[in-house]
Amino acid sequence: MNEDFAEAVSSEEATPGASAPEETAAEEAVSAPDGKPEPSPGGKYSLVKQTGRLVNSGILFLLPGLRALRAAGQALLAAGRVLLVAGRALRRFFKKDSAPNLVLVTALLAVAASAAVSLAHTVTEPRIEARQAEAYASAMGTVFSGEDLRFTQSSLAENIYEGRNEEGRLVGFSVLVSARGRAGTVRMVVGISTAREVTGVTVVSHRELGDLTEIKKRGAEDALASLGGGMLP
Amino acid sequence: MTQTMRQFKNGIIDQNPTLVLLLGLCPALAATTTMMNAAGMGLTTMAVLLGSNIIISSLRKLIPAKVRIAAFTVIIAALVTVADLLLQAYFPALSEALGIFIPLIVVNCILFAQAELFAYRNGVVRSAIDGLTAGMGFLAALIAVAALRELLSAGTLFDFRVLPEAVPEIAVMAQPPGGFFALGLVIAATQAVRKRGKARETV
Repeated sequence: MNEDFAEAVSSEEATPGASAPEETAAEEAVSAPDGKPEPSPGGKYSLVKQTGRLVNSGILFLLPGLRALRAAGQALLAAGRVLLVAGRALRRFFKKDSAPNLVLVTALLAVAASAAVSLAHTVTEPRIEARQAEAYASAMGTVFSGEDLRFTQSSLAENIYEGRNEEGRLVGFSVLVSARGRAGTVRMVVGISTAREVTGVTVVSHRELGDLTEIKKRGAEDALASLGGGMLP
Repeated sequence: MTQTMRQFKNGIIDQNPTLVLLLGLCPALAATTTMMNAAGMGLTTMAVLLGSNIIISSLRKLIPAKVRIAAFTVIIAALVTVADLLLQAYFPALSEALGIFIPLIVVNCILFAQAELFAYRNGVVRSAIDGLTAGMGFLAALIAVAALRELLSAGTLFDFRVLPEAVPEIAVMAQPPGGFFALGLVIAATQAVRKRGKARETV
């Protein structure tokens, strides 16, 4: 079958190739009256034959390439069939309502959701921490009544700040503490005097139910006020 | 009336999620003591609703029907967490005032109703409009309830004094029972408006 194809191609190619040189040869014969030796009919014939041979050899030269192309095509087709079968199997396996697909989709969604949340966390974390630091800083003085203090980081611990009055005398410590509430962290500042007495407690931030426990919150505020502190938000 | 116009009318009046479908009543009662809180809650919910409707409608062909509720939950929870973090970072006062109610948007029925009844069955653009209109309906309901409560309990609107000091303040309106009173009044008003509208259509 392969050879038939090649023959058909070569014969088709050869016919027009053979007729064209014939014409050019005739033209040459007409335009050469000036004593040039006229080409013999045999020469003319041999020219045609030679051109035909040339064309043929060109086709023959192309033939291995065509064969390789054909083989490549067949290989591609076979690979495509394998892929198709594999794809169908996969499709059956991951059909919209098949168990593996349910797991796959849910897992992918969970991964995407976690990625989104962690991205938002990375973006907002510095700002949220800065806000908390600000809130802490503004709450530090509230636990010492009556005095205008300046606070500096203590060498005792990271969450302890030393409060000094205008003369530079140490008056007490503001301790930043946090505790787990029912809904998130409750952050507080506790004031401790140099006489080791609690001078006040201020709640800096909390996420407990606000409105529903309004009365309880007020109770807490009174209690904090009696300690010499208060509630910030 | 075009489909978009109808969607707007449905979201805000005819199928107002809070006042007609009676969904999301918890935030409508809890976050409406002041207009500021109501506006913050309404806008945050609207943003999350818009986002969840867009995401769910664009993924609706990928999400198998059997796990759609789980998928909705994951998507909405992620959006609410992101919104909560953004509020904490950029609007700390609002975040402090709304506190626990922001995370609770996750279990707001409006989001699920809109996801299940609309976004899972419609295209992205229609679903976005639906999220927007339902969110506007919710926001309008919260604002209306909060206006009533703030006006009657403190004589102010958005912290601006509206009523003269001489008008007695009704303290109960700021408390949970007041939420029910105000919500009931607003629902009644909405029904009256709808009834009149219907009567006009039939004439």
